[in-house]
Formats: sequence, structure tokens, C-alpha cells
Amino acid sequence: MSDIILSHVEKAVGDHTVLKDFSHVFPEGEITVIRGASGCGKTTLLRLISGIYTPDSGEITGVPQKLSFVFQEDRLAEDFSALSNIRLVTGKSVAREEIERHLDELSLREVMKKPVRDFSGGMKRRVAISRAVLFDADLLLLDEPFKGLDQELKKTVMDYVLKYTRGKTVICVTHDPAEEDYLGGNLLIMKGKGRNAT
Amino acid sequence: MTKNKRITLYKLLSILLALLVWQFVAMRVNMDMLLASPVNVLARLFSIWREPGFFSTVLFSLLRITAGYLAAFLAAVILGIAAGRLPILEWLLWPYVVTVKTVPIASFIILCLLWMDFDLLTVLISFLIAFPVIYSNVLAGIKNTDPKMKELAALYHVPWGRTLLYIYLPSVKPYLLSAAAVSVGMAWKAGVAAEIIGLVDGSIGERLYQAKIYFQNADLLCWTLIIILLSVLSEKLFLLLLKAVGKGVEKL
Repeated sequence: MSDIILSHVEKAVGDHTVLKDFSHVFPEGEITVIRGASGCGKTTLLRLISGIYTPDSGEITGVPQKLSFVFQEDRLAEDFSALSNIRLVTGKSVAREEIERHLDELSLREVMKKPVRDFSGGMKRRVAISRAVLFDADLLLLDEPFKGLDQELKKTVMDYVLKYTRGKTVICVTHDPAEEDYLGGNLLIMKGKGRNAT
Repeated sequence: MTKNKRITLYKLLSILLALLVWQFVAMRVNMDMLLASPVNVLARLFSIWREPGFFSTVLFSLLRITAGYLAAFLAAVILGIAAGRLPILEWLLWPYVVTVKTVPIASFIILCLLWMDFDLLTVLISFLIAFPVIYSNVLAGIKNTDPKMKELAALYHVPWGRTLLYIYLPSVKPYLLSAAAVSVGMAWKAGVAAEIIGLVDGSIGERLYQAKIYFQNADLLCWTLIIILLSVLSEKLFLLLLKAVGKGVEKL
């Protein structure tokens, strides 16, 4: 593992240039919180780092092979249980007891066998976060992961993320200064077209 | 009265009225060999099943149509999934699927009569009529799978088997159920048509043909009712089975 380095990255989505000459270093094993106005390229940046997008120019290095991503949407297999949704990405590599323990920490143990289509928005969010954490990746990308959670639950889920990602590289996009303070770590403020001010 | 009860009542009244119209027309025609009355058809229905050979005739057609349908179902699901993943396969299969969809089934029946054993005719025709419907629906289900879920699977390097089970199959399920609901009835209609044209010994089609040449109109309508009953029963049972399999998969 090493730092994730973006050098002079440019990316256009359709006709719109989202990132222009963007450079930044995300330190290995640390949390970086990204803040910025809507449309400034935060999600595009995560998608570039994850490899979903390829940069039009510039270079991205140091991204580990195994990474997990909490998208803005939950992206759950709605007909399946919370347990199955986690198994979808982990397979048998994580013991069932381990998954149950994680879901218990997020107050989902009682409902873990029910189809997630019956879950509330907050419950689905917790499943998506737990799935990303249990994948045990070296890099965790979080795109507004705590959106829609009430204050108390948000704190529980942030504690959960902090507990299980210690020593890993975490990049988290948020609009909420309170989340930014709670998560700590490095702060990257993005301005128009990805011009960054740290 | 609730809306559902009112709808059921209207349907029952419509059926009753249609039966009365049928009875009235049959009485006006007054020739059983041209149009048997519903009362006579019903009476024939209660006597026909006691005749020797009834069950073997039903079983003969049932087994062949079911075999053809199940083979079509399996082939269409496997090839539909494969073609959804491999565009080249979709193009390779395209001429066959379009041909089977557009060529009149009677032409296929006659062609098959030249090429093969009469016993297999029903199986093949049921297969041919059901395959394109199921295949096209499976393919549409695969193509309409949520791209965000596919992106998730790629990002997490989810193996193909798990992606199929958790992401593709839930997307295919509604398409498959609607295809099954339509194609079972089609397989029955085409299968029996093949038996009539091919005069397949010991089949329901043969009994229909005999009823026609001997002007046994009550028998003709009675066998028609039996075909409808078998078709609806097969459809309901198959849909139940599919839904049960779907529920089983969701519990994995």
C-alpha cells in the first residue's frame, strides 16, 4: 500500500469538464474528508479513484486492488436479506458469526434475514455501509454515506466506520461540517472544477 | 359490496349470459352436429372421461407438450442469459429466433412431418413456439438489469455465479414470469394443432380431428374445454413452481 496520488487529472462527463488539472495526495492509512459545493466533482473524484472512470489526462497511482465503495444510493439486491447482500460481495470469506456481529453493532441483527426491500432508508444505508466495511478492503470510498440517518444513529454508524477502518485509507465525501469534525483526519475542500484548497 | 366482489359478480353474470346466448343459438340451429348446446357439452364432459383411452390420450399429449415446453424453457433461459452477456451469441441466434417467430407454425408442422417421427412432432412444435417468447424475455431482463448494480458487482469483483444469482436473476424474474404465463398456453395451442395436422396417433389432436370428421360437435367442444383446462392448469402449476423456486433463491 502507498499514498494515492492524483497528478494533473482532468475529467469531463459529457460536454462538462468536471475536474481540471486536479492534483492531490491522499495519505495511506488515513481518513480524508472531502467537502465542496454540489457539482464541484467530489463524486467524479471518487469514481476516478475507484477506477469506474478513467481520467481524460493526468495520472492516478497508489490505488490498491481491493477497495470498497459506499455509493450515494444503497445499491442493494432488494429481494435478498441483509445477510445475502453482504455475502454478495464477501462470499464465504467472512464467517457468518462475524457478519452477525457487525449487523448487531448496527442494530440490524433482528432483521438480518428479512428482504431489504422491507427496510427503511436508514436500515438500508447501514447494510450498505456494513457491506463495504466487511469487504475488508485497503481503501474505503464513502460518498455521502451518512445521508438520511438521524443524529444519534449517525454517531453510531460513524463510530462503527472509525472502529473498523483504523489503519486503512478512507476517503469520505460529506456536506455536513459536523460529520467532518467527528471523523477528523485530513480535509480537502474542493472548489469549482476540482480546484482544491486543503 | 367491495369492488373486487362486484367485479367477480359482473364476470359471473357475463359468463352466464354468454352461455345463455350459446344455448339459444344452439336451439335455433337445432342440429347438434353443427353446434352442440352447452348442456350437451357439459353432459359429454361427464361421460367422456369414463371412456377407454381417455386418460392415455390426455397423458400422451400432456407429456409431449410438457416435454417440449420444459426443453424450450431450459434452452431459452440458458441461451437468453448467455446472449445477454455475449452480444455475438445474440447476433448468432438472431436469425433462428426471428425465423421461428415469423414463419407460420403450420409451415413448421408440415416441414417437421417430412423430417421426423410423428411421436416427436408435438414435442418439437411446443418447443419452437415457446422458445422465442421465453428467450426474448430473458434477454430483455438481462439487458434491463440495473447498471448501478452491475457496476457494484464489477467494483467488488463479484464472481459471475453470484452476480447472476443476486443481480441478474431478480431482474429477469418478472420477465420470465410474464413469458411463462403467455407461453404455456401457446405451447398447448400449437402442440394440439400439430397433432391435428400430423394426425398423431393416440393424441388429443387426433380425437379432435375424429370429432370433426364424424360431425361429433359435442365431442369437439368437449375436447376443446379439456385442452383449455389442461392449459390453464399447466400454466398455474408452472407459475407456482417458478415462484417457489424464486422464493427459495431469495432465501439463499
